Amino acid sequence: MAFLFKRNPKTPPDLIRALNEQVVKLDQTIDNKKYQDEAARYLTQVKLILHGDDDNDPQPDQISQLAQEVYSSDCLYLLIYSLKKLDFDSRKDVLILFSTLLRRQTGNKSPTVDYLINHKPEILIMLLRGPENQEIGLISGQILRDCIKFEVINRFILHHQIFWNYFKYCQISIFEIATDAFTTLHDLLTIHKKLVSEFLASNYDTFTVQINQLLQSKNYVTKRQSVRLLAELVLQRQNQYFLNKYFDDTNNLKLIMLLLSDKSKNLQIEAFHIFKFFVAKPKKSQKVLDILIKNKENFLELFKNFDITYANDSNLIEERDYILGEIQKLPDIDKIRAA
Amino acid sequence: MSEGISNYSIQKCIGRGNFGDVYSAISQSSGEVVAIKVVHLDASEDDVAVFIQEIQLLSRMRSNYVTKYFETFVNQMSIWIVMEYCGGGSCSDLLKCHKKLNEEVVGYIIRGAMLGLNYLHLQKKVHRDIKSANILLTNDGSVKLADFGVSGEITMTNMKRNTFVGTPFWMAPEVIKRRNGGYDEKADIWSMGITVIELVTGMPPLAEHDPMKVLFTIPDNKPPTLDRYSSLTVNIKDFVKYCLRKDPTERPTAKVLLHHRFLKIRRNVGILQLISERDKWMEEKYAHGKKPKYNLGKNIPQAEKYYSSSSDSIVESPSSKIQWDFGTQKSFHVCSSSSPLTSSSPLTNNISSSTAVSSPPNQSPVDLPHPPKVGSNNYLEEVIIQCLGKVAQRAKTSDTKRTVEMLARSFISCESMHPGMCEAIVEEIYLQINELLANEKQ
Repeated sequence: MAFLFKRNPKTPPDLIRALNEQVVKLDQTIDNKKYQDEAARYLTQVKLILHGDDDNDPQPDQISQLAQEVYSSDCLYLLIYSLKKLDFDSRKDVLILFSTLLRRQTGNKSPTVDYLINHKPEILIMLLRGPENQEIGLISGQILRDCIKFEVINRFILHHQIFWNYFKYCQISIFEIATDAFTTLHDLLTIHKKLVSEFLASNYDTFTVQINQLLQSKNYVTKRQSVRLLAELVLQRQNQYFLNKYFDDTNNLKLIMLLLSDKSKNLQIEAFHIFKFFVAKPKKSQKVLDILIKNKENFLELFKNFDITYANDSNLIEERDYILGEIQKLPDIDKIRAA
Repeated sequence: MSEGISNYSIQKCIGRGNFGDVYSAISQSSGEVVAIKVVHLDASEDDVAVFIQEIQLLSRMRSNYVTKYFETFVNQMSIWIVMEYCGGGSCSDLLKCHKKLNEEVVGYIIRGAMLGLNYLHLQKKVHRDIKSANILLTNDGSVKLADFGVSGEITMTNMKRNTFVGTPFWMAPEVIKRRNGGYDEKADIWSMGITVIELVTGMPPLAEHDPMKVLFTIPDNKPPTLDRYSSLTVNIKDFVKYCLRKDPTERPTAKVLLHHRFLKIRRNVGILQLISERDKWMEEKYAHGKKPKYNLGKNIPQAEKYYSSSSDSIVESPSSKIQWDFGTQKSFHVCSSSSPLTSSSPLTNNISSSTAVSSPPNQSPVDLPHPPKVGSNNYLEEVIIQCLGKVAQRAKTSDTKRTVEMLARSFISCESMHPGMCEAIVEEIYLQINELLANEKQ
């Protein structure tokens, strides 16, 4: 430890104050290389206090002092506000600072989570807007996903209007940004299951419109990711209220049928994992039943050629055969018309 | 998205692998030559998330010793990953042309590769496929580590398909023994040691054997050495010994190995001369590039068109011709209002009996079949909560009341996690009481 002090004479609070000073200057000048380097140097020292190195283990009391100063000086706010102006590697150090502080607990509380929710929710909003900026989109996404692990933060985001932007962010033309935004969207909707089931129940209409738009994307990757996400939500029995509505809606059925006949084999299989519930649902809405009956021949044709052998999944084959059987039991249109 | 693609004009195929091919192309906007890896996402059932994760990782790597990532596009069912093009080719091509390389050149190459590896390891990334084929040279002779993660999986002819199609000669013993993970960045150090032997002798140890048999011998054999080559110096021999310790914890890190004498390199090792000789040799051999495994698809600007053999090409599914009928004007009323499909369904069968989450396809999340015992089927509210409410009224102290409330909240959350649970509990209590009453009467 003495060694650490010799090389790094600043106390943790001093270090944070020095870092803040540089970060503030970063924001005021155009030619900021000097401040960038200074900030990078201090961030490296912060990282050393948090994680130690080969010769020094991290010291809890130092970390605690550091954390106190970070909260009281709004250091995280300053760093995120100026994230774009920090250099590439410093941004990774900000991620480390953030995730280490998030994991830190006093009692059974996370003071960082408390700080983010009750004192500076602006930080979360800035992070949520990350995908709007190509340079910091990925790093913001990584920090954000660390935050989402805490239910209160996930709840805050789901109840904020900005959440819906994620359905647009994941269609941005920059591949990494779009797919990273999708990863965040996925986490927001899958990690805290109870929270999500309440959310889906009270936002059925908006959510369905949004996810259905993604399913119709021209972008193959967006399509595959969104149908996979939907399949995951559909398997969650907690989402029952949402599911009952979803599987009664013919518009949803149509979109899934279109995916079922997509030229991509993978999309067909993903879609099948949703389609099967339309067929297997005990009490179907009349309209859903109508569409199934009208397309009986189409389904039989489709499943005749439904190539799942390469997926090598015996469950899938069993399910296909069951669904095929159920469809065969549907009445024939001609007979109904004749009657 | 396709504007991005039209910025690149494809020149020729420079490599091929399981998931797609690698092309050289010219960026219209910058005039630069780039390498484009085309990954066919529909060619395997792998979740796209795996590829995406790796691309994200690529985009976070910035080092002069690792091939640069530029951007990615989605084009129909494939993604195009645009990377830095290394005009000097791979060290394995260099080896094919020159048969073997002298110790100085090998030291120069390994130093560059080790700097790249050190960077990856600092980023907590294991390369997993270090070999001469994945060490690239630029036109001006700098060394770049390439093909980690997804980009590796495209160009590797490798074990992704549960068999070792390719070459396990470079694999560390611990990688072979515990195939599914369970090894760390030290595995790369072993592979680097094997690569040194490969470059200086012309091939990795055991190369004359069947690759599948080698899998069994590597973990049992003593580590290979360069001791029997009298022309080589002690530096390279010692370096290889450090890399090829069987116990991974005994192998030094990349950072430490960078200080080894073998990697203290004098400036000019004549690498440019070797590259230009290789260029001539390659030109004679592959004048028109390699034959790609996959068809690139329509509407792609390319100098030459390739037509893939029918077995490899992505065939459009015949189902795409289906014409769905979405009209809802006519209803078909069958079997009164109930569905004809309720008979024993494997998707609904197991629900009431099991709450386990083992095989998702066997649980239906929709409409649990409730036997109509209680009017509205709401066992939670009409039975449990009602009863608990009455218990609360009977409670003498507020403390007891609070405990009852806690109980009620637990029931509510249990029911939301496992719908149908309250029904099962009520049913069991009812049956048990009946049984007890019956016994009493006897």
